[in-house]
Amino acid sequence: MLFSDEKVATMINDQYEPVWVSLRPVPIVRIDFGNGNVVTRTLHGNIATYVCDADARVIDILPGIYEPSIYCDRLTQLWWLHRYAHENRDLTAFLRQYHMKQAALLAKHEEPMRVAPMRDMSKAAIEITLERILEPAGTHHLGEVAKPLTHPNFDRPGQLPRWSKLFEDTKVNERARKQIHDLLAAQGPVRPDVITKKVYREILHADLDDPYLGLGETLFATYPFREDVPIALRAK
Amino acid sequence: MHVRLTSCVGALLILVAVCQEVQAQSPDSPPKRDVTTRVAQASLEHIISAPSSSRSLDQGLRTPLATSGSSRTKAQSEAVKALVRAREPFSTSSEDSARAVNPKVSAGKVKWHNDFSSALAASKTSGKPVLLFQMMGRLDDRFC
Repeated sequence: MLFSDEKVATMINDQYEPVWVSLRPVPIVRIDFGNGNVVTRTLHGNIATYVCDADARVIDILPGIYEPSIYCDRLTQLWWLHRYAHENRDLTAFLRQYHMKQAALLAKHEEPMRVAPMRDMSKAAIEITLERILEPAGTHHLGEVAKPLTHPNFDRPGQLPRWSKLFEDTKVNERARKQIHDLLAAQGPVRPDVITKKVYREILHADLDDPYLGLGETLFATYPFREDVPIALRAK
Repeated sequence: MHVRLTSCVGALLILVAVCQEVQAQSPDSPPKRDVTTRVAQASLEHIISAPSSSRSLDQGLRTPLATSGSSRTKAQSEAVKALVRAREPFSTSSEDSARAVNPKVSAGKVKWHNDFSSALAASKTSGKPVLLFQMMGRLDDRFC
């Protein structure tokens, strides 16, 4: 849905070198009610968007799903962050300060700062500091989004991205960025694979090492037909 | 009347053959509590996940009962085989099954690199940052 949006796709194609990676199969729930009535849904699927530099160092992460226009806005900010980090003398220190600053604001339940293009970039000698590139989010922290729809008509093009639940998810994920900032401030610019499991386990609440993604106990603890319970879980 | 009798005999033959097959598979093991369910599930999975096999099952059931003589016996035999195939849960490859449950779709309008290494190499040339989209499942699957 997100990547079928013309604006999102154009922005990503213009500004990024995009790649998607599957970490594991998505759990699929399929209920057959008989007579051809089948319901299929994904369960516990979750995503994360990493922005990295050419040396595979993580600049920042957007956890979970986002409303398309806010997603574009955040990716544009991170494009600028990537650029300024590389124009800075000490990329590691620059990014560490950025993550610490954003985490501190979120910890106080304040809006994080926006990464904005510097107005006087023509002056090549100017030093790039966080103070110069960060500005208060103001009242448009979540961007100029169209009014969310509580009951969208999914048959109409353009209504699904405006679903209020997607907007609520976006707000939750924006709050979860505090943990991302904490993690990246502590770790520094690491490769994605170094922190992926931690991101999924602690921030997205999906333990990639657990074949049942943490649902094993719930599914099998009180299930009486023991031969259908996985051996690893029977022993517990 | 003749047609109804033929149909009844045909159905009985199929039922007997399936029962014999079930018994022959595990003569010493106790009957499983959900054999019926498993047969039903296997048949359903087979029908859903393997269109070509489900067609043969369908044809196998329809054709023999409408024919006569030796061809009827042969057709009935084919029907029994089709039924037996249908109740074997592993007669369909897991890949086919997964494909039927989760068909392939377009991964959107983004021009994706094939892997992270390719994206990094492109980034070195273009100077653009890499957007790494991590997910469970596959972006080119309907359910992801």
